[in-house]
Order: sequence, then structure tokens, then C-alpha cells
Amino acid sequence: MDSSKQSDQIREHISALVDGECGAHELRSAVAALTLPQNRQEWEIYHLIGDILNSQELAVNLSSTFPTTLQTRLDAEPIHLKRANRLPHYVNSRTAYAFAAMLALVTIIVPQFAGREGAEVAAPYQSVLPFMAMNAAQSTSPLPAAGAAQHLLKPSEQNQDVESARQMLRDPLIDSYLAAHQRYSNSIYSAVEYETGPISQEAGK
Amino acid sequence: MKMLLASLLLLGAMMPTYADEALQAQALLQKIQLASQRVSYVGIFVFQHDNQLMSSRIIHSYEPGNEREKIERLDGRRREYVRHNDDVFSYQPDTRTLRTEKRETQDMFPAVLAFSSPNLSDYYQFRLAENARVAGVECRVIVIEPKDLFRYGYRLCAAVPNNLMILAQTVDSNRQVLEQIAFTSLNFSHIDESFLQSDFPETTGWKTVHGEVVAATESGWTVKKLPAGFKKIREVRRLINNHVDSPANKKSTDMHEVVQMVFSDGLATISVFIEPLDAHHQVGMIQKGSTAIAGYQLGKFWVTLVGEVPVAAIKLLSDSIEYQPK
Repeated sequence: MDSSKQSDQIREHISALVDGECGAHELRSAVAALTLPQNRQEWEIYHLIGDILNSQELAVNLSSTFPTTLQTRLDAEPIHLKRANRLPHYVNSRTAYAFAAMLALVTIIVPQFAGREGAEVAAPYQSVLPFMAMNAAQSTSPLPAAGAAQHLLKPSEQNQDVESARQMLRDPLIDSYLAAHQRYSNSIYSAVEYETGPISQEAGK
Repeated sequence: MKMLLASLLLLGAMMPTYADEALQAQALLQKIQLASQRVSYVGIFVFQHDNQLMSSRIIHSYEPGNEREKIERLDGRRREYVRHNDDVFSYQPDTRTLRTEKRETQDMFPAVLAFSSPNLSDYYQFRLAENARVAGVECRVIVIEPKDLFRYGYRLCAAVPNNLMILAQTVDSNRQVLEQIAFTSLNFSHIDESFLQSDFPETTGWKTVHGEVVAATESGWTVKKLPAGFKKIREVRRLINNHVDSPANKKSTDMHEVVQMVFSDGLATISVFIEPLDAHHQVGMIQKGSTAIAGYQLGKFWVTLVGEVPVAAIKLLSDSIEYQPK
């Protein structure tokens, strides 16, 4: 087969796959084609275009290692099919999770930790995350990682819960749980913290 | 098609090298584990976490059947931890408290594995990097990268002469170091018995606390969803301090009982604490270095999760905790 004609065809299949219009036959060749780097680049560009059409905020340049990292992580992703029956038939679970995981990665990479306001108040803590609000975010997402990560993007929701989180920081009990956990943890600083009380108190002295 | 074939061949040619290296790196983990017991040394290690720095002196001595260790914290309040095989004595001179207990794990720094998991390579990628030099000692660098979003990566360095781990870093998905621990000075030598004695031989009048836990395999609590590779390594009932054991409120000795379940994939560990609800808890989630902590109400119970994992993992567990009395 003429190779340029073949690559055109593959490109078509990939485009169809991105758009969710891929038939069973094309699906095979499209997925197989995605094992090649140049085709995967095609796939990413189509997605980027789609993302930018949806929202300007998604116009993010991914690092060059992103596809391989994503692939290895996807392979290890636990599968939760709770909401799978609501997906259109042409979206197989792999593409759905690819989207979700990609979204999760993008949201994690972009904002890093959103809780800077909280961090000012409680110096030793990196970020303050409202836990219950995360619960709400999760229930609408098929993938826990995506739910948690999406939530990090919403500082407005976060502020509502920052006060309760601050109080939690002052809750002396936390250090007791931390110490109990470290008894069983190979946390690299277990040896330092072994039955030694809270770091947070020490910091102030 | 040619391209596909060519890249397959190339991939095939590269595979053995990767596989070899990954196996070597994993084997090195086991050697680190063994070295943490079998090597005798004196050193100072520093723990860096956010903007904090803490240093401790460690003295470790090994003869067959006789493992001794003494760790002194060099910053802040004085703390000393003396161990003879599995008997642990923790001295807190400011509160005049001596805590005695049996050692519960064998994976404190400079050890690394919570248990020997044959499947670690299913969840992490292992490779060796260029040798480094830490505390004047040449060491082999192991890079451990997670394959999903439910755990962090690690960068470890094992001393070339004897595989003692002299550097450990926890690394997030952006390859930022979340926290690290490293020796700043280290001597491998025979240890004189006298160095291993406590600095507080006279503890008359001190408060003695016995740290005891009771196995609680029938607690009825289950966690349905775990990140791949995590399994329950322990379930106990233990007492938790109701207050921080600091000089300011040293009279507060009251404790309460909790069920603690511990899950690990071999490298990362998550604890789930469950207790009847009382009014004193605050709902929330915090992240502190690599440690995520969450607390929330579940029916008539209070659940606390603590783990050196990304929040996604804490989240996954917290949504799947159920009580099923047997």
C-alpha cells in the first residue's frame, strides 16, 4: 500500500476516534496506529484543537514526556465503571479514561496547589483542601483522581471550607494520629518523628 | 509499516536493558532493607520538609541476634529513642516521660520497605541513575516513578560499599521534591556498647507509658477501594492521645481507643483510623510535605486518614469505607 495514502487514512481514523465517530473496523487500526509516536502526536493535536475550541483555558503546552507518562499511568489506572452505562456507545472505556486522566493530569500540572491563602496562615502546611467539597466534586466524575484534581481548580469553593480546615490544623489530635500512623509507615521521616510530638509546635519555637 | 517494524525491533533491542536495570534497582531495594539492619554506623541525618530542617544523630550497631540503635533529636525539644532488637524506649526529658513498647515495623529510615512486595514493578517504574555522592560517600541512585496518580515517586541513594541508604527523597508528579532525608555525616565502624546507652539512665519519678496495641481483625470495618497494589498490612485497636503531649498540657493524659487499619503497596502507607464520634473533631483535609491527612464524619463514627500519598488516593479510600459487622 502506498504509505502516504495509508497515513492519510490513519489520520482520518484517528480524527474519527477523537470525535467519537469511529466505527468498529476503523477503531482497530486507529488504536494500533496510536502506538507510533508520529500518530500519537496527531492524536494529541486533535485533542488540543478540540480542547481549545471548548475552552481557551485548556490551551496548555504539555511537556514532551507527558504522553509516555500518561500511558504508563493509564495502564495502571484502576477501572471504575459505575457510570459507564451513561456513556455513548462509541466511547469505549479506554478513551473515556484517557480523557479523564488527561484532564486530571492537566488540572494537576496547571494549578499545582491552589491553597496558597491557607498556607499563609498555617506556615508548615503546604495546602489546605476542603474535604467535604471534594466529596461533592467526586460524585460527578467517573475517576476519583479527576474529581479530586478538578476540585483544586475552584478556589471559590475552597475558601468556604478554609476556615474549617484551619481549625483542623489547630486540632492537636492530628499529631496523635500522625504519630500513630508513622509507627507503621515507612515514611522517610518516621525515625525523626518517632514519638516526638508535633512538628508544627516546634516550628514556632 | 516499515516504521512500525523498525520501531518494534528497536523497542525489542532496548527491552532487555530496561528490564535488567529495573531488576537491579529492585534488588537494590532489598539490599537497602538488609543493610539497614546489618551495617554498623554513626551518623547525622537531616530531614527537610517544607521550610523546616531537623537533624538527628543515629548510632546503629549489629551483631548476629543483637541489633541496637540510638537516635537523638538534635533540634527543638530533646528526644531520645533507644532500641535493643524489638524493645523500644523513648525518652522525653521535658515531660519526664518514658515510653516503652515493642517495635511495630522494620521500615524506618534508613530502611524503606513496608513489606516485601513481589509486584512493586506493577505500580512503579524502577531505574538506576548516575552515581551520586552524599555525606562523602559514593552512592547508587535508584529512581522510582509511580505508574498512576495514587502514589508518589522516590529517589534513593544506597552507599556503594554496603548499600546503606544515605539519601531518600519523595517526589511528586512534577518531579518536585516534597521532602527528603539525608545523612550529612556518616562513619561505618564498630560501635562501642557505651555509645548506645541512654543519656537518661535515671528515670525515677518519670511517668512510664506502655504503648500497646491489640490486633483487631474482627472490627467489621472494610475499605472497598484501594489503589492497585495496596493491601491491608495491619489492623489494630490502639489508644490515641487526646492532647498533644507537650509541657503546656502535660497533665492531659486521657486517651481514647481507635481502630487503625494500615494499607501499603510496599513503599507508600495509608492509615485509616475509626472511632465513635465525639464533638471535638474538625472536618477537613491538609497536605503537609508528602503527608495528606483527612478527617470526616461517617454515620456515628469519625474517620481519620493519614498517608504519604497524593490526595487522590486518600479520596479513593475515604469514599469506600463501610461497616459490615460479622
